[in-house]
Amino acid sequence: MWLSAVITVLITISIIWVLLSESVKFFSEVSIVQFLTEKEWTPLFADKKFGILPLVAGTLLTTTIAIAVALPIGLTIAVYLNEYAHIRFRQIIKPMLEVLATIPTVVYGFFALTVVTPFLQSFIPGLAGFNALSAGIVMGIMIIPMISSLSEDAISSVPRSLREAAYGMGSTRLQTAFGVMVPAASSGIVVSVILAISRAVGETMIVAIAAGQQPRLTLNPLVPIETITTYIVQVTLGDVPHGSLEYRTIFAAGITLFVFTFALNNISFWIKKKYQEKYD
Amino acid sequence: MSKKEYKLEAKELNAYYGGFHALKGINIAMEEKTVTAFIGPSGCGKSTFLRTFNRMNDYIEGFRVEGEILLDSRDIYDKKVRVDELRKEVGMVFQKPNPFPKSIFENVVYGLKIQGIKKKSVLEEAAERTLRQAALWDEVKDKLQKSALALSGGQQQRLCIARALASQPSVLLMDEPASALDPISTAKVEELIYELKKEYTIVIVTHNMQQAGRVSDYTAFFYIGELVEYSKTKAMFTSPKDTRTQNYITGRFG
Repeated sequence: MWLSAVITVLITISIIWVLLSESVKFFSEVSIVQFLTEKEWTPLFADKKFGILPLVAGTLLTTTIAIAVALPIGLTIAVYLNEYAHIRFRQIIKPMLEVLATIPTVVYGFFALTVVTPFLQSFIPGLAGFNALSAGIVMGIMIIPMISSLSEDAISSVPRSLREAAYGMGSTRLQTAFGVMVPAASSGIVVSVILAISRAVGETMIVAIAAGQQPRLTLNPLVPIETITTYIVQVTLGDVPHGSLEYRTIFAAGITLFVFTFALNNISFWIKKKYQEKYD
Repeated sequence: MSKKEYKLEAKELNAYYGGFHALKGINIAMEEKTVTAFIGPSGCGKSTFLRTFNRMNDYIEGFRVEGEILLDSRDIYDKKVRVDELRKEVGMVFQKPNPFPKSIFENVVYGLKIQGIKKKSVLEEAAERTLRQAALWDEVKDKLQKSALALSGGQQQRLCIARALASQPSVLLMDEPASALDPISTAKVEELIYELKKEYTIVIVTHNMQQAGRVSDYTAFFYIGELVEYSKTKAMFTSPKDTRTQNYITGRFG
């Protein structure tokens, strides 16, 4: 029993150790200032530039699109299931939604590339074959169940007495849902969104397949971009020699990613702790 | 003599939770600006009955009513009646104080805001008026923007009363409003009921016989879904007609 716990901890520590040690070697050759401020990322080209910003921008862009899709839909589903849906319907639909989360991401990636992109191209002229928009949208679809399920839990754990108070005041269902229940459940909803963000930030396959692999410092969703994760995939799949500077870039990218998700997870943990059971 | 106009009436009211017959053929009529207390042992249907007056039972799976509930001689279970409109007319205060996790001010003006009133001066005026009515103004006037959850239980309950009054109802339903409060807060709420009956028709469910005696003009005694006895409070407490009533108010069961 204790052994498996120790192993888990050891693995975590060694991952962080590898990330750190390789990044330290990277930053001994490339300055952090350069890494954080340069506007191009071309470590695999002859003219090497090591600015992480294009990758960060690509990651933020796809993540923002994904959340813009998933938050309104996920929250609406959560509210619908909680306030409107018949209990039977809820029992059927909730597991079905969760199936969305079990579809392999590679399938989502091809869905984005071969279905969503052509569909979007039919009314968005100038949309590239690989683009952040369709990858972001599909990623959003993927994280809908995460938001809807966790938000639904948060809303249904709001004390019944608050719902009664709202109805007793003559609130309609809509007013009750969005005026009372959602604000009262906001901490849980925020946590669900943050977890969804960190999932989107770390998502690899969909963006690797559908968003292209061109690091580009832009917020235009219609052109190919590259995210931190896809860059790592690109290098590990390529013929970059181990131990070279090019090889070490993935650890620098990896630690950037790690910083992001680590921060997000901590924020969600902190919010949960601070606001949990506030209404009891 | 012309036929008397009642504020609230129930005619041959039956209510069911699925197969369970919770209220059995209840007839009752309440005059305007009086306080009526519903008493009876747990599970006798008094809370269920109270909640038929603002249709709070509507959301309970399998619940249905037969018969009529009349508010100002209109049947509130009529299909044309909008439940949200009805509840602005018939306010409710619950057993446990249930303020929204918002500021004190936002709590009081909630009912006005959902009616689309946004003008700050109107809201502020209403907040002060109803908080004064609920005898809470002096205690909270300096911290209206503070969270309502920071108030004591008794203050929260008076806040809930203020919140209910802000929608300008004519009827106030109170479901054991003091059962979760300490004696001092209870006394304050009771005083408040006494003041409020000058303007509102009040129906209060209570487990506390002394409370019924102190605050109400009329008392209705329920037993296993039936209205056993309904009369002036004094008359009921001094000379109950039914032996079940007598047993209950003398503390032989319940």
